[in-house]
Amino acid sequence: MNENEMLGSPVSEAARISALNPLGYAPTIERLGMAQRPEMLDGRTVYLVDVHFVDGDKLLQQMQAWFTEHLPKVKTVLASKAGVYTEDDPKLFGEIREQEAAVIMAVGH
Amino acid sequence: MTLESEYGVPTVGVHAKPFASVVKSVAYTKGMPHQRFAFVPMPVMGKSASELRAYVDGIDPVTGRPVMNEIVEALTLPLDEEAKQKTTIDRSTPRLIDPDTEERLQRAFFDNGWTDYLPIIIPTEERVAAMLAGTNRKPDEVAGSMRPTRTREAWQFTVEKVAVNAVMAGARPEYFPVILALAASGVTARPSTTTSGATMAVVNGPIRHEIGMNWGIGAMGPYNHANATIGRAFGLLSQNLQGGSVPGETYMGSQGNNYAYNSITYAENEERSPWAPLHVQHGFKASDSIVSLFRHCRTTSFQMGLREQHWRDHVQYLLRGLNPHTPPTLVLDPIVARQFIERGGFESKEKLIRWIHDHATMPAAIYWDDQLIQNYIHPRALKGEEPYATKLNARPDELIPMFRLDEIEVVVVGGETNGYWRVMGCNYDKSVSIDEWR
Repeated sequence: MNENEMLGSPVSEAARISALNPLGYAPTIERLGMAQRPEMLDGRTVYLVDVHFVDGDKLLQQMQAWFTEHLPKVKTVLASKAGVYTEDDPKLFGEIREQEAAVIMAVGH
Repeated sequence: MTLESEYGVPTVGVHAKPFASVVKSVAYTKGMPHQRFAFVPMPVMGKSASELRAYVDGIDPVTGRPVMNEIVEALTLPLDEEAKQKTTIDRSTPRLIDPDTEERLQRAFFDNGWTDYLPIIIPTEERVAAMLAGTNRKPDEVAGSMRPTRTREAWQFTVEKVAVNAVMAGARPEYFPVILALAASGVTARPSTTTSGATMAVVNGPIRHEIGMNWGIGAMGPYNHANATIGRAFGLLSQNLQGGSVPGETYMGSQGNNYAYNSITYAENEERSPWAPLHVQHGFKASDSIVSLFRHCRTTSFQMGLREQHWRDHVQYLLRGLNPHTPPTLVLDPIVARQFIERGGFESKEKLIRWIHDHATMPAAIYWDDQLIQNYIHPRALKGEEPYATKLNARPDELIPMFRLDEIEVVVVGGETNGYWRVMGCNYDKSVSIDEWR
C-alpha cells in the first residue's frame, strides 16, 4: 500500500486526535466603494502617476506617447507621487480630484 | 485604493506580472475586491524606451488582452452593482480543526501552508495546555497583532494562538515567555518583502541562563534546543498569526532566505563582552530579560580579527560593501570585541558605533543613485526629513555617511575559538520585555 492509499484509508475514532487551528484572527473586511467611471476619456485629463519604482517613470512616458498617438483628445499629465508608495499625497490627489481626472498609477514592481 | 475610495478618482494600477496575485489579494482584504489593474511583463527595470513601448503596445500577460485596452476600459467601463456597495465580510475560522490521525494532520498542516515544511508537533489540546503553563497570562488574552507588510491588514491573536505555534515548533513551556514577547512585538519573521529579508532575534538578561540558551560556540547555528525552537516558533507564529506567508501572495521574496528557518535567534555573550549588553544600551536594566528584533537581514560579510596596520581600511571596505539603505550590525566574537578596544580605543559600543558612522562613507552622487535610496530615502529627503535633507545638498563628489548614527548596532556572540566576526546588513527595530510575559 502506498502512502496516499494509507492516508486515504478509513481509521477508527480512537486513532483520531483533535488539534488546534494555528491561524490568527482575520479582521472583518469593510468593503469600500469605487469611483464612478466616465463614459469615455476624450476631453478629460489622465494623470500618469509614478510611484518611484525602478524605471516606472520611463514606462509612463511611453504610455503618454501612446495616448498622443491613439487618443489625442485625452490630455495627459506626468506626475510623481510625494513620499513612499504606501503614503497618501493630499496635494497631488486633491489636484487630480479638482480636475475630475483619471489616474494610471505605475509601476507596482 | 485611496484615490478611488477617498478622492473619488477613477484609477487603474499598473503592475508587473509576478504581482498579479498579491495585488488582487491586497485589494480584496483592504475592501476593494473589484479594484481594476493592468499588467505588464517583468522586468521594467533597465529596459530601453523601445522595449518599454513594446510593453505598452503589447499584450497584458495576465489577461491576454492589449495592455492599453485594459487600461482604458478600467477607467471607463461602468461599475457593476456589487462594486458600488459597501458591506462587511466575516473571515473567522473555528478554534479546532477536524480530528484525524497524526499522519493525516501532518499532511493537512503541510497542505494548508501552516508549516516550514519540516515535521511539526501536532498542537493537541493537552500539548497546548502544557505550553500555556509557561506563562501566567490567560489563554484568551489578546497578545498582539501582526502583518506581513504595512500594505496588508493586521491579524490579531491570543496567548493560546501563540502557544499553538510554539508547540508546533517543538518548544518547551519554559521558553514560552520569550516566544510570547516575540509575538507581541508585532515584528514579523515572515515579511513579504521582495528583498527576501529575514528577521534576527537577540536575547539578553537572566532568562538566557534560566532556559539554557547558547551564546558561545555555534550560538548562531543548530546547536541548542532553546535557540533552535524559539527561532522556529517565531517563524511559524509569524506566518500563521499574520494570515499567511504564501509565495506569490503573502510572500514575494525573489530568492528566499535560509536565515528564515530559525530567524537567527541567539543570546548575547554578556559574560565575555567587554561592553554593556545590547539591552542596557537600549535603556533596560541588566537584570531585565529582553529580546531585540532586527529586520531585513540579508547581507553578511566577514573578516578575521583586526590587523595592526590596515584594520581601518579593512573595516571600511566591509562597510562600503553594504547597501546604503541597510545599516550594519557588527556581530563580534568576544576576541574581536576586545581587539576593537586594543586597536581603536573603543571603550564603549557607542564609541565604536560613532567611528563606524564616520568611516562608512561614499560619494553623494553614488549614494543618491542607489535604487533603494531612490525608492525609500529620496522622497523623505525631498520632504525635508533630516539627516537626509542635508545629504541632498552635498556636492556630487563629497563623501557622506551611508548610515544614520542611531541605526548602527553591535552585538557580541561566539565561543572564542577564533577571531571571526561579521557585519549583518539589517535594521534594528525594537527591544521588548520578556518578563512581562512570564
